[in-house]
Formats: sequence, structure tokens, C-alpha cells
Amino acid sequence: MAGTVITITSGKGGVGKTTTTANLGVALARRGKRVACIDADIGLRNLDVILGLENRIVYDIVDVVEGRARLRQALIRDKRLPELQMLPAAQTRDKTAVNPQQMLKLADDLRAETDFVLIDSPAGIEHGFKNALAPAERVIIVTTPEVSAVRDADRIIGMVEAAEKPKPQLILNRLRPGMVKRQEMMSTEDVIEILAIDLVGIVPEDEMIITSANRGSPVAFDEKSQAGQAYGRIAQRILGQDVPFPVFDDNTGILKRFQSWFRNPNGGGGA
Amino acid sequence: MKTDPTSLVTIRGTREGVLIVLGDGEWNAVLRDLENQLARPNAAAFFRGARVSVETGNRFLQEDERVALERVLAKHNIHLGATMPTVAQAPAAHVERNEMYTRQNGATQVLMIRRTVRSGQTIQHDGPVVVYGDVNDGAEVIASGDVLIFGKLRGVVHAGAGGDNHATIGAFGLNPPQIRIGSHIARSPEEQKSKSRGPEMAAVREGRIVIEPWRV
Ligand SMILES: Nc1ncnc2c1ncn2[C@@H]1O[C@H](COP(=O)(O)OP(=O)(O)OP(=O)(O)O)[C@@H](O)[C@H]1O
Ligand SMILES: [Mg+2]
Repeated sequence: MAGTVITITSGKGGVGKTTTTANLGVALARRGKRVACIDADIGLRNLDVILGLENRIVYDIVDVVEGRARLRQALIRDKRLPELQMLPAAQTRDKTAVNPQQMLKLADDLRAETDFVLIDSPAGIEHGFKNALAPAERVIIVTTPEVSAVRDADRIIGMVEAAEKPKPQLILNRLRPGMVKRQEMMSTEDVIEILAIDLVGIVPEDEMIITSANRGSPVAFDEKSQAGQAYGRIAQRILGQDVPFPVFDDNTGILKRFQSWFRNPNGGGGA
Repeated sequence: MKTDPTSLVTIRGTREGVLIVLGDGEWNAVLRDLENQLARPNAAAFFRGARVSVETGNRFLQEDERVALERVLAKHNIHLGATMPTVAQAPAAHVERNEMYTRQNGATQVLMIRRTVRSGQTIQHDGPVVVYGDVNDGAEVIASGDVLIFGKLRGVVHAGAGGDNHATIGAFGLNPPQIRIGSHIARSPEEQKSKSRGPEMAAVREGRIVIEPWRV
């Protein structure tokens, strides 16, 4: 059966699209799915670095659409996780080097041999976004809980709807529970209430994301960190499993939760 | 019916009848293009008996423009049903999915919207507008009549846009950055933002916009 094409997009830049694409690619591949990630951010290639595959690039997406290389030659297979492949963006060209028809063809060729094609969209609503959206069968919107990011996400959702794609799903990234508690950050409920789409995952703010990005080894490789576990759960939800959303807490919060839990048996109205 | 992709006017069949979408461009050029397309040999058969709606692109039709449009259509025995506003980005999709339609109420066409109006989208309508959903931050609704929102208002609404100071705006949560009614503009007082106060309506009283509980 042909694979599913999922486009990961956001509107606002820097909210975590590439991080999400890399980690979902890893998390799905670790669950035995064949995954191809496409870096559609032409001119600002990034996914290769996050995945730690930058040294192995010979050909890129523009070489493929312009016929200088076959798809098979340009795809880079991850040696740590052979289910995972990546098609790098071109660094020296701009976004008009590829058009939506070419993206459709490319995605079609890739889905024939994979279970999932993940497309890392560039920021914005211009040409590059339209390229990334064209072949999408599912769309994941990434936003952080900031007013400007949510507003841009809303705009993108409107465009996805107008393009007659299925209703997008939401990943809320960089949530900081402590700040939400102090009412310094929008909560998950606030964001969902505005965007009115289904949540597929919450990824907390986690320093491990940054250190692992620098090492070229996404946190989803070992699902020990909070963020790594979050990507694991999102992958399961994408695979159709019903995984509950945990309540996130910062480290001190976890301790507090234990304390209150121990108090509870005697309680029942004490507080 | 096939349409040349470079033309200013797109004509297509929908579940509801026939939809004519007027693109951006100089008004007379758009009308000429429409005439040319209606003059094609297969056009008459395509339009026979169909309910015809027109989407007016980025413009709020003036009376003379509306008359001119009706005249072009009448020449081909087409009766103009509804004129629709434009939603930024591929508006036709929302119309075809039945998320946006007009309903005749006496002499006026009420625009009904059954979805969230999102950031970057502009709705313009000559008449009242009813939204079953939210109007989000960054969205804009401009109506010559009243605007009723069965949801939260976080974006900008201009009711009575033709100059009607008696128009009103109602919403289940009125939290817009600013409100316009007729020739009046009011800005939201900073401190009150994001507090939910239940259904409210905005109207002009004694020369200024006031917000009061919405009692129906
Ligand atoms: N959950 C997180 N916790 C901590 N840091 C994060 C998290 N998610 C992303 N980051 C960091 O935020 C930065 C931007 O992330 P990323 O490059 O994935 O965003 P992007 O949306 O792809 O950006 P662009 O729009 O430029 O393509 C990176 O430095 C990344 O490490
Ligand atoms: Mg990126």
C-alpha cells in the first residue's frame, strides 16, 4: 500500500517545523515504518543537519526535479535507522526552483516505496509553502503558545482549508507548564479554542532538543527525555493509536505532584 | 464549462447552481471578459435554468457596478441570484462546501458563514452577516448591515459599512481590537482584553459606540 504524505508547516518561522519533521521521522521509523523526509525549505537547508546527515549529501531535490539525478541517488539512508531516508533541499537555489507539480510527482514516487513521506515546509505563505502543501494528504500545524505564532498558524489553517485539504492537526511546541501556571503563557486549551482543530501532540520546552540538534541526533532516537517521549506518543497517534495526553510539569512540578498524591489517601476534603 | 486560466472570470458548476467568480483586475476588463465567456456557443446550455451566484472578488460592488453586472447577465437571459463576498484565498472552496451562502430575507441577502473566519481572511458583504463560529484575531468582516457572531469575536468587524450608524454587532464574547459601526470607530480598552463576559452587543448610542449585554 502506498504511503501517506504529511506536510509539517507553521506560518511563523522558527517554531519547530524542522525539529518536528526530524523527530517524527525518527519516531515513526523506530516503530518499523518506512519514512522519507523531504526538506522543502530550498535555500535554507536544515533538516540534514538536525538529522546528522549533512556530510553525505551528493544530490538534492533540485537535482532530482531538473533531471540531473535520480530520486534513488539523491535519497540519503540513515545508517543508524535504515527505515529512515531523507531528500535534502538545495542550498544554493531559491524556492522557485521547484513547482507544485514537481512536488506532487516527487511525493508520488516516494510514497510508492514508503509508509510515510514527511515534508518539512518553509515558513511563510509563499511559493515554498505552496510547494510543501501541494502533495499533502495530512497536514500538521506546529505552533508555540505565543500570540503571534498562533495568529500565523490560524492564517495557515485558513489556507489549508481553502486548498481543500483535510482538516489539519496541531502540535503545540515549546510549552512551559510553569509559565502557563503563572499565567504568563497561553495554555493548551487557549490555543485549541482559537484554532479549533484537533491536537495531535504537545512537546514541552526541552534543552535536550537543542543539544541533540547540535549533535545531529534527534531526541526521538532514545525516548528518554520529555521531548523524546512526546514525539514517541505523537508517532503512535499518527499510527492511529489512542494515546492520552499527559499533564506536563517542570521538574519541581513532578515532585509536587508526588507529594500531593501521598497526601491524598488521608484527605478527602482536608484542603 | 472550460475556462481559460488566464481569464479574469471563472465560471463553474456547484451543487447549488452556477458560480461566477470575478477575479482581480480593472472592472470594465472583468465585465468584458465575462461577456466574452457568456458569448461562447456552449454557455447558454450551461446556464439554462441554473441558479447563478457571483463572487465579486476583492470589491464591494457599488450600485452602478451591480447594475452593469446585472445588465451583462440579462443580455444572456441570466438572472443574478446572490452576489457573494470574497474570502481571501480560494473562496470558492468554502462556497462549494456549503460553509458560506446567502439567504434571502425580504429585500436583503443575509450572508451565512458556518466556520471559523481565520486570520488573513476578509469577508465583505452588502447586507447582514451571520457567523456560526469564531471571528479570529487578524480576520476582518465588513458588512453594510448587522453582524451577528454565534462565537467569539477577536478580529475586526465593520457593521453598517455603507454608513448605517444603526447597525449592531453581536457576539458570544466580544473581544475585538477595535469595532466599527457606520462612521464610528472604537478601540478596545487595554485592561479588559480576554475577559469573557458572555453575549454582548455593540451599537451606537448618542454618537459613540457602546457595548452592552446582548439581550434577545
Ligand atoms: N521543544 C523545544 N524545546 C527547545 N527548543 C526547541 C524546541 N523546539 C524547537 N526548538 C529550537 O527552536 C529552534 C527552531 O527550531 P526549528 O529549526 O525546528 O524551527 P523551524 O520552524 O523549522 O524554523 P524555520 O522556520 O526557520 O524553518 C531550534 O534552535 C530548535 O532547537
Ligand atoms: Mg525549518
